[in-house]
Amino acid sequence: MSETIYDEIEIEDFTFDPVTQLFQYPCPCGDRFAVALDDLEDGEDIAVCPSCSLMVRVIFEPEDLEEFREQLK
Amino acid sequence: MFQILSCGSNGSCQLGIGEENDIDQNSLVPALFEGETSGQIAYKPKKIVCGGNHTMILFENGDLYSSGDNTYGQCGYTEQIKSGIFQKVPGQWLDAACGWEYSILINSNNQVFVCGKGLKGELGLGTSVTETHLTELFAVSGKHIIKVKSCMNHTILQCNDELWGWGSCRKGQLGTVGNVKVLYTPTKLQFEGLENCEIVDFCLGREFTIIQTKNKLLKFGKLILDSLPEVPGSEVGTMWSSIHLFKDRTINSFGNNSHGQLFPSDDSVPAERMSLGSEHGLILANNVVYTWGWGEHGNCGVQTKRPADDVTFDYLNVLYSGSHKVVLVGTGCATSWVVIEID
Ligand SMILES: [Zn+2]
Repeated sequence: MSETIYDEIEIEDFTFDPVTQLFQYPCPCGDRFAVALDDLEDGEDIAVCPSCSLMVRVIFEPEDLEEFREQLK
Repeated sequence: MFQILSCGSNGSCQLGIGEENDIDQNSLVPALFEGETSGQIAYKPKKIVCGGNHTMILFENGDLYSSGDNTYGQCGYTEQIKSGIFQKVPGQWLDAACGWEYSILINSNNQVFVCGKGLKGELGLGTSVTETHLTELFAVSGKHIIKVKSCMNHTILQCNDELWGWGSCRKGQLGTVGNVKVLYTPTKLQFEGLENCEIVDFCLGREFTIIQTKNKLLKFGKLILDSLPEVPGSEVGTMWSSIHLFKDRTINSFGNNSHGQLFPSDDSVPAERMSLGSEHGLILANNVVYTWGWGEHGNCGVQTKRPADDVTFDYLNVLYSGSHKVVLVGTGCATSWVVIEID
């Protein structure tokens, strides 16, 4: 069970930074889970924390990503 | 004299053990205080509250000290004299709470102060203010503020028999609020089922709120549970994604158990006190401090039953068993705190 997912988080609860194109959400370690818009568009649904081993599954529908892609234009 | 020992995540010096030690600590180390290099303090700590990367320690004499990430002023002071140690927050305080990157402070005049950063109404200062140095949010007149608690993005304040709150409310964690996702200013809250009930306590998880009345628990917001446990007379606590009922010297836990967060009830130790962090807990029993849950940053000490690099502590691991009297335990985001009395 090394791949235990800590929790499932809806995409709306992440903050999106148009500069880095990352979705981020607080991790219980104090850092933030992150996943790139590109990766979500490619079907990835796991956000990882750069400071620990915890991972969360991002809950979203592909069409949810359109508004974020729009923000980059 | 007292000594405050800490271990765990220290990437922003939230342990306050000195600037050069900004790495994980898996054994208890004395926290250092401004103007006090011996690591001993004369006043007794009353409460230790932690945000994502900052820590506040409230003393019985009303002094408040903080350490850690102060990028947005969440430590309560504007200038950090020396980073890596606890520094005094100006003023005299009765209560304090920390959220992700913000803090809420209460003084004896029933004034509520905020500092730090919040994009989802965490500061309560309206839609346009997302960052502030320590500033007064509001004052309560004719009522007495009993306590304040914050979790990641929401805060609840009890004034007499009323609950006031602000911050993120999309999951229902601030009760019935109409069709809004955020309460940007302090608002008198309404919780279904709480009408005419006396509030015994309340506690906040990452996206939920538990309210305890004399004979029932009420849950608001997102916390996946099969059913809400009924254990009257318990002390109720929360991690970010679980709830813990402390009664008759043991703990019954419900919720997320991805990393051993639910209390290992087969290890029978007569718990006297409990403290719950983001995803780990501490208990005090017969002057020994035990820990369990997710301990990736050394916050649960060193593994004694599983491989050394395993981050799950699904058993009670001894964190402190020294000879000094333990007077307080505390927990934060992967941080653990043990306060001992030294003659
Ligand atoms: Zn993390």
